[in-house]
Amino acid sequence: MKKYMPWIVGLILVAVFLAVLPSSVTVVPIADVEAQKKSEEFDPVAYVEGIWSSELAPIVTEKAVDLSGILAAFVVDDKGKAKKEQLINVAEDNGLITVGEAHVYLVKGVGTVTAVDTESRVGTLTLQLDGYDGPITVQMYIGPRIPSDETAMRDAVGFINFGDFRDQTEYGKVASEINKRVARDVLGGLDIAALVGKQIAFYGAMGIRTFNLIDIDLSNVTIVPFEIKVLE
Amino acid sequence: MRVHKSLILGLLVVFAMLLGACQTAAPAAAPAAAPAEATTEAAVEATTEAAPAEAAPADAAAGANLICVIVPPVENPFFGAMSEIASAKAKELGYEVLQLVHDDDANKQMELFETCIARKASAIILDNAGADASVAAVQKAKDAGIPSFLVDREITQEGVAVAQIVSNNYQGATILAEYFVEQMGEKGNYVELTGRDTDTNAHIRSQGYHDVIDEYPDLKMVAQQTANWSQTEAYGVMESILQANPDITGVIAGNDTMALGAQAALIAANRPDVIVMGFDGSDDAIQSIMKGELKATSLQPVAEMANQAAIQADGYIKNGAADKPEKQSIDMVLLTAENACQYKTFAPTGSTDPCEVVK
Repeated sequence: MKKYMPWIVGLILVAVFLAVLPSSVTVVPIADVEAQKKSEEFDPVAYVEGIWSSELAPIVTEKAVDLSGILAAFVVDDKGKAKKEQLINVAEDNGLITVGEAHVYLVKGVGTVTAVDTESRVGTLTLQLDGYDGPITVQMYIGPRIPSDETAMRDAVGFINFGDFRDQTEYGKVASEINKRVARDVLGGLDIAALVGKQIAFYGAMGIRTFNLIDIDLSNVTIVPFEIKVLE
Repeated sequence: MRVHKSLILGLLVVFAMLLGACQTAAPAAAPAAAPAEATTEAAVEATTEAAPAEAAPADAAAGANLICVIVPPVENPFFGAMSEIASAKAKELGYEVLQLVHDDDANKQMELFETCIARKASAIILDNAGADASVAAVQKAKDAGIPSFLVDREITQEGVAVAQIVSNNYQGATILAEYFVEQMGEKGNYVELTGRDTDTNAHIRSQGYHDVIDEYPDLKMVAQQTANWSQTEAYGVMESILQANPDITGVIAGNDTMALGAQAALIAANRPDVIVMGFDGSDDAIQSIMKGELKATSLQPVAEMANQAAIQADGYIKNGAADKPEKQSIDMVLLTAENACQYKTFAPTGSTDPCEVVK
């Protein structure tokens, strides 16, 4: 018996090795990865975490267009209304148009905060934008909430598409999560009340919905911030 | 000494197997480990092999120049409009049209699909009877070479229908809920009336409402009940909810017919102060808003979806290929007393005159 021991030990080692082998070299078919991506347990928090610094941030800063130039290109009448065809030209030059005909832009600029409104949980500030003195009022979301139907940031980066998600809810939750992340990471550390009178430099996204609308109300635009730097 | 020799021999065997396993050209070295991988690989191969055959353009041009338009019960004006607009567009493009109603019954829907297959339809335009249950019917048509163009409701599988043109219900729900929160002053007790449980859109809308409203701790949902999209059911449900919760200040409904039913019950109970909002943007809802009753609704792009389905079906029949991505999401518009009068039959009238509420 004793002389067979080493062989038994050897065979056990072989067995252990064989048992470990499949799990250490797992082949995952692409179909499974796709299925996993679209599984019931879609986690918008993890999804946004996965793209925030690596993909989203560089695109926002690289592709942002000067907001003052975009606003100057919009033609609005004395009631703050714009014509869709004219807006399409500006969007094609400076931003993207979604399948749902929303015009979305990545924007940047510098301006002075003239007012802060925190009465509603969807708070906004008003900005006197450097280099723009036209009729359009520039506002920016300052939290603590950004409206869930505000999908400008998700849509303007261009790589987050409806077809990549199982359904509208998942797709919508990505937008909500991006907004929550903005509220937390971009706005969370700011002393909002102290911003009045200060000059800020910002990066962000702006959306204008046009589908099934005749005249587009452009009396004001509201920016979803991605970065705010207080300059003075 | 002999012990050591044997041990070394054993280890050598392990080592040899390790080497063997690492080399793809030596599958015999580890037969026990292979099957799991082999089957998955085979499965992948099978699906990739199957794909090109499925993707081959449908031989629909040889069909009977017929387009089937299949929708849920047309008592709801939303589905009636969908069927009419899609049919009118298809006729305008030179097709014969067969208008059918599946009554939200997946079995009946399958029978209707079989009818369309038997009649060699060139395409099917469908507002489906269930996200999961409809996959089989659409697949059956695909297998018979008939492309399907889905409107309004999504199905849970991609690559079966040529197009899924859906109104962005989630966006429509959140835009409505944001307005609801604003009108409620970010506080108060409210009721939610939900749609038919088998309809994905009932869930998407409810989810959208809650993703907004639940962010406000002072807004409290005291009752959530289904009224199955029905006006009369909503009337009854609202009556009993109101008895148990007289202190409510708002009702958010999953569609217009339920909102109108709830609104009628509230008026009958002398509670016209309660804020009621619907979803769809039907003409009845628009009239109610302009009478100062309903406060808002989200307008479904019914006309756009129906027209797009017919246009894309025609393009596919002629070219054998789709020119748009399968999943297309179209935005909804918030209708309130300020703009509701500028819409009719689920589309803008073209007028931009200011609206006036006439009680």
